[in-house]
Amino acid sequence: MRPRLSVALVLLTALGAWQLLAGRDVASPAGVGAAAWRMLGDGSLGRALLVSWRTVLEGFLIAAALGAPLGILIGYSERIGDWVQPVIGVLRPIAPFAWIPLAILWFGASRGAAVMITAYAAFFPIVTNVLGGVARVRASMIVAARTLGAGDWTIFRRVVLPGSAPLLLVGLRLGIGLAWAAVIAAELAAGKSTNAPPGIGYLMYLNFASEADTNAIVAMMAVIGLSALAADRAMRWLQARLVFWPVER
Amino acid sequence: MGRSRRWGRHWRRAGLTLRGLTAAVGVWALVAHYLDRPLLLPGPAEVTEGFWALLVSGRLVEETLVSLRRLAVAYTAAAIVGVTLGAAMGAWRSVDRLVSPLVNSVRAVSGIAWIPIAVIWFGVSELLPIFIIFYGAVFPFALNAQLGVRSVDSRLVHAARSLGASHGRVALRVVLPATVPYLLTGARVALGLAWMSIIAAELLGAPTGLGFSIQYARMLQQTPRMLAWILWVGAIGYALDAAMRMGVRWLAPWTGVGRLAGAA
Repeated sequence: MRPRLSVALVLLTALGAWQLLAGRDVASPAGVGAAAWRMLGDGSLGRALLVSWRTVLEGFLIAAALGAPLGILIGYSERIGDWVQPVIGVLRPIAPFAWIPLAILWFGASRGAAVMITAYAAFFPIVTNVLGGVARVRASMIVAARTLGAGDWTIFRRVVLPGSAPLLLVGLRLGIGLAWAAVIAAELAAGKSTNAPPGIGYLMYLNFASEADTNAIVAMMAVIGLSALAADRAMRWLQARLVFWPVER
Repeated sequence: MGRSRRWGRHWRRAGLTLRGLTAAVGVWALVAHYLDRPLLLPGPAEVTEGFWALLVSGRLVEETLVSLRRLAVAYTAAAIVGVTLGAAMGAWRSVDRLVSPLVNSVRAVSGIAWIPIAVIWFGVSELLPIFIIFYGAVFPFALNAQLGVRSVDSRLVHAARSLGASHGRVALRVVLPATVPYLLTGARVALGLAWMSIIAAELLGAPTGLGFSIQYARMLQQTPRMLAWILWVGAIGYALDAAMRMGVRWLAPWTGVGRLAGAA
């Protein structure tokens, strides 16, 4: 209870100091609150938030649906790993944002481009962590299970999957965090040429390109931060539910 | 003998890597050939040509140096600020109580979301990418420094103190060595994030640099050059991480941070 109180106190004091120090041209807490209220009232914030959440979830699900099986496959079979790993090694250091212009070229400044970038950003943490998770499953446990008469499927389901689950969830958590950064970058870059339903990054672009309304921009930054935080909390909840046993490090 | 076997493994690895990459480039060439839309997906030959043109004209080196200079300035600043702040948070509970809530609430907002307001504050200038890189790199430094200082065994500190060591000496000889693995982890994560941030910042708000060059090639509809830039960004990112790993293995071989092939 006490630590929470001190956190609240520190944050309130900081907000108060910010309000006092903010001049007319700088965003202030009161101004940000008013801007948020206005955008909530006319529904623009809610609609934009829904669009961005949808993009994040679609990109994230694509990344998870491709990345998790691929990671397991590479980790499971050395033959496949030898072919695929060099390609992953080459693509992984390319910052996801570097692909934005290509994505816009392929899909136009549409939601498709944003989904592609989001999926790309989330893909690599998922693959590398699943791979690490499968590699951590001890060979002796697989041999033991086989000696006891388990088939391939049982070994996969009962040994490999639980063994790699902790790192899989770490990968998913990192992935959704990067997905939230990527969606904003993609929507900002698509900018004025977009024909997609406006996400929150695009709403931000409008506010800074046309009227430089710093209060509205800071309000949207806060909403983006809260969304990323909510996604992270959700993944943590999932982590605690699915990996309920103590994990050795 | 152990040495020659290790070299044998290296050669095998290199061979497998080459095989995998050759296959990937082959698939790319086939897809590009049958798709036959060079504006959307040029083949490896065209991209190599574009890369060569950029190299010969000097643009490649020039823009890379611009980006690397920004990276160096912002990364150094982030290291100084982040480690100082993190160490103070780790050492004194009162600082932690005061600063942690602020750091945690600001940190939730990704560096990308700061770009619009940074454009308003700094204009499209040198300061904008530097600010965004700094923001991306400062938190891994701070959080790892904090963790590291907190991980120091307090019995060692007490022992050194009671044997007559001054505060400064304890910091230098006890706290610092114990913190090094954490600092190096922080440095490595920070470098990766900094590299991502610089591309985004230059793409959206800088008239020079690698990120801008990708966007510029798209505007001119020079897709081969655009892909050459993108792959080049990956090559530099890889080289930076490899240099970091080598540096760590040389500076602090006992930590194992250099061996870890990239989580987080």
